Amino acid sequence: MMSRGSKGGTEMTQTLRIEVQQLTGDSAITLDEGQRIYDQIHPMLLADHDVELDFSGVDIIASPFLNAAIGHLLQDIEPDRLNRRLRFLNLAPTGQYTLRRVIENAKRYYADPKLRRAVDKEIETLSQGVEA
Amino acid sequence: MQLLKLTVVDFGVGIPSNVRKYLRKRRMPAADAIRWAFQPGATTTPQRGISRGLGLDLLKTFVKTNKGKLEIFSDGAYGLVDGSTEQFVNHEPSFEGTLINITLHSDEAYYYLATEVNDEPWF
Repeated sequence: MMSRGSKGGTEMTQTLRIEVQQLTGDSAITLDEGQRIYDQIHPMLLADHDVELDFSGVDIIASPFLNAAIGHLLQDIEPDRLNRRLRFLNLAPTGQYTLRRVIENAKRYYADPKLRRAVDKEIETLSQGVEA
Repeated sequence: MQLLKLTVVDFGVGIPSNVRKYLRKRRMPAADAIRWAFQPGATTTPQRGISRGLGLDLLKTFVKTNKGKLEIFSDGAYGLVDGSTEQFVNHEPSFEGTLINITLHSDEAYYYLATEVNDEPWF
C-alpha cells in the first residue's frame, strides 16, 4: 500500500510511504524483492522527496533484500540526503542490525567506483566464458 | 538448555574453488580461501552495481553472539566458529561440495543480535 501526500509550504515536498509487507509478505529476503522497493523509492529520493518504509508485519529481513533496496541507493545519493529524506518505521532489532551492516558494506563498495566497475566487468566476462 | 542443530549441504564445487577462480589465485590454500569468504563484502557472485557478500559474515556474527557453534567443510577446507574461536584450516579428506553444521541456543536470552537503541544516523 502506498500513499503520496504533500506537506504544506512552498517546497511541495511529497511523501511516499510504502508498507513493505504488501510487497514482500512476512519475509523480505531476495534481491528481486529489494529491487522492487528500490525502483519505487530511488526516483523519489533523487527528486529530494520524503520516503517512509514501514516494516510492520515483516518478521524476517535478509541482507540480499536490503542490499538491493537500500544499499544500492548509496551509488548516486549522498548519505546526508538519505538521512534527511528516508525513514524506517517499525524495523525489528535484528533488521536494524542487518541494515547497519548493509549500509557500512555499501559505503565501502561505492567508495571506489573505478575498482568496482573493473571487477564487475571482469567477473561478467569470466562468467559468460564459463557458461558458453 | 535448548539447542537447535541444523545441517545444510550441497554438492557443488565448494567455496574455495569459487574463491580461487574469482581472485585468480589458483594455488590459494583452501583454508585461506574459506577465511576470505567469511569477510564482510566478500562475494564471488557478479555484483552488477549492488554491494553484496554479507551472508557468511552475518551468520558468523550471529553464531558468536548466540554462543553457538558453526562448522563448515568445503572443498578441502574446514572452518570452526564458536563463542571464543574462529579457525580455518586445510582438511583432508576433501568434502566435494559444502556442508555446514550449526548449533544454536534457542533460549530467548541468546536470540537478539542487537537490542540496544541506536540513535546514530543510518547513513
